[in-house]
Amino acid sequence: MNTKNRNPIESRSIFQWTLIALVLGGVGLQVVHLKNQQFQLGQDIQKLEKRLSEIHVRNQVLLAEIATLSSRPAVRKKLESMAIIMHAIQDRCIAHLFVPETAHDDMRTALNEGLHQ
Amino acid sequence: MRRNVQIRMTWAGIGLSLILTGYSVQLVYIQIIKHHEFTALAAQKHSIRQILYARRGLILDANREILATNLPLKTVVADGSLIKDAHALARCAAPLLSIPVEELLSRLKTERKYVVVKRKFPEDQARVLMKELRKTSLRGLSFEQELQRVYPNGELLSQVLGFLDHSGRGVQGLEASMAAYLDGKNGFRLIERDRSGREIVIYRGQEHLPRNGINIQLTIDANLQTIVEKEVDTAYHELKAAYVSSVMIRPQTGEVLAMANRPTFDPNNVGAAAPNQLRNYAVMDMIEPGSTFKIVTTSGALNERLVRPKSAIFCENGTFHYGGTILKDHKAYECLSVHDTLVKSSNIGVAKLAFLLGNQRLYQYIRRFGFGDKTGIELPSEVSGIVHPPYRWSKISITRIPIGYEVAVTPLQLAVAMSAIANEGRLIAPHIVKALLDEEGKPVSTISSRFVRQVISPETAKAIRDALTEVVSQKGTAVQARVDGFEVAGKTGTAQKVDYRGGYHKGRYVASFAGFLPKRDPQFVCLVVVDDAKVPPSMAYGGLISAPIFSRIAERAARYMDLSPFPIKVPPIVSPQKEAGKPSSVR
Repeated sequence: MNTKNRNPIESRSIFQWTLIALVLGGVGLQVVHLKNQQFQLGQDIQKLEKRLSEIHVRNQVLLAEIATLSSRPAVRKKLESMAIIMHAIQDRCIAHLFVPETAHDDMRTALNEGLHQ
Repeated sequence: MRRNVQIRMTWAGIGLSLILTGYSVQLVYIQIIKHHEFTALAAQKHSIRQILYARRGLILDANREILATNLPLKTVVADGSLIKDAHALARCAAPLLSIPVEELLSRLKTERKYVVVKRKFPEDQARVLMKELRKTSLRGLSFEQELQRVYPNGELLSQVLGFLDHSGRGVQGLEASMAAYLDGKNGFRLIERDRSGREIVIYRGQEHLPRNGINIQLTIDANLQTIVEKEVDTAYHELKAAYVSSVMIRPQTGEVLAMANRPTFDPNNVGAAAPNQLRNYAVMDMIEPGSTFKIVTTSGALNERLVRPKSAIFCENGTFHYGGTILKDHKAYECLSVHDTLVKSSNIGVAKLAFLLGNQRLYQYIRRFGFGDKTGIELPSEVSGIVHPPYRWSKISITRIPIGYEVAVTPLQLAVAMSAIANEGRLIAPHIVKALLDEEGKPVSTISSRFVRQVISPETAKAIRDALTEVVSQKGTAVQARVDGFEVAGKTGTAQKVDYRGGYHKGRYVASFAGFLPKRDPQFVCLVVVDDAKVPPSMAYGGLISAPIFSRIAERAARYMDLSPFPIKVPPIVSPQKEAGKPSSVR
């Protein structure tokens, strides 16, 4: 009689399996989510690397262009086309500095005698 | 009936089993037996070794002016296995690549995975093409990094700098000899690609970063180099010479300040150059130096104390019969002092000094001045010259070698020997590399001067300097080497040009002048060699051809170096006590 009224579905077991399935499903989704994030990060890294490389290359191109534009032949061309003008510096405008001859005694030019008295 | 069904079922079962067994065998064959082969194929398809390119080092002058730099460019490459619509790709890329559509199409219709479509494609245009390809989703073209070497100053210092071949390998000059430092080392990264050919960053494997090349700083001063090159160029065109070469050295350190040759070439366009234009005559060419070599013999005789500067030598009135040949002076001298032998450049006087020295000692002095040995400068293809040992000398060699015949020297060796005279008899090895610099410009290594040997005593060097100063006066052979406001010392040389088939070319000369300035504290030694100048025979002398070129170079160099034209003496500082006649109490 009792057996007739008993619910044949074992709810505990179903609950257990549902929980396991949910956990596994959750873990799976989490793995997919993390993997997606990882891919996204990879894409970002790649974009950044590309940008850096482009800047580096542009920098090198500009350096080469600066070197070419400021080279002697380029300056000479500018001079010939009167884009720039050269003025000779007159000798009286140049200050020549000469090293004084060393005295042949023990003199020191920077010695403050007052401090030693 | 039932039996028939059973039989059919059995056969169907056997058939199905056989099919499944066949699949299983195939699976085992693919998965186990052919595992390595297919793994490698898969790896080849998806994994690639991405090269990370190293930057080639720069070449800078002493003031860090760029002499050689890099210009990044792209090489456009087609992969036939990825091209689906060659016509559309050709139509899209042809205008940007400046290639006719039909020509590009013929290159794109290929099964090959690597076809070079265009080299040296400018970086900015490559970016535009990349955008265009992305927009149209056309696949099959990729871009590889390429570096073009650029020499901003064109012909300036070209033979010293050298150039690269199409694969980026140094062929000549410093580009070749310093390749170990300039080259750098490419790195790599193992990457995997998805179906569309894009990198899957998270599956990156092993990575080795590239090591960029080291920058090289030279001892060459581009300003002095410009001065020397301009004068050498003018002389080359005016005199219609076979070649003109000039070397400028700082005698105290052996630093090469300038090195110029004509004819020359533009390293940015090497294809247009003839072989003789590529030659660095200063280190690769040998000449018989003529009278410039007399400094060696005279130095030896004075250094051995066999004679003194004022000792008299009988000069045979201009004609000296020896060994069945006649040695002549350009003027008849009866007696000359050792000092005047050099000033007047007497062949007979110098030959007689060589007699006093003897074969063995003369040979030793020649070698002590560095002739017959490579100087060891950081340039490729340097030759050591020819100096035969005494056992190979003929009877008349003792009269020919002292005056600069029967020996072959490079212009650089001659300049170094003159530097020893200017530098109190100390021979310093020449060098052209000043320092190795890292990317931020900090020195990794500095090249210091290398003292080779004391060739002659400082007293002997002074006596020779005194004589060489008089060479550049009305009394001497090189009055045209004078520079206003400075005491110049130097020696002319005129030698008949050697015919490599034997003997000498008649009426063809190598004219040279090696000098330094100022005499008391030489700031530079400069040598000018002019080979086969097209001038009348009466003009074919070192004093008339090379000395004026030296004078012009020296004058401009002295101005640039801000050398004091007159010896200005600033009075020493004297203490008040000493001024008053008291003993000094200063420590």
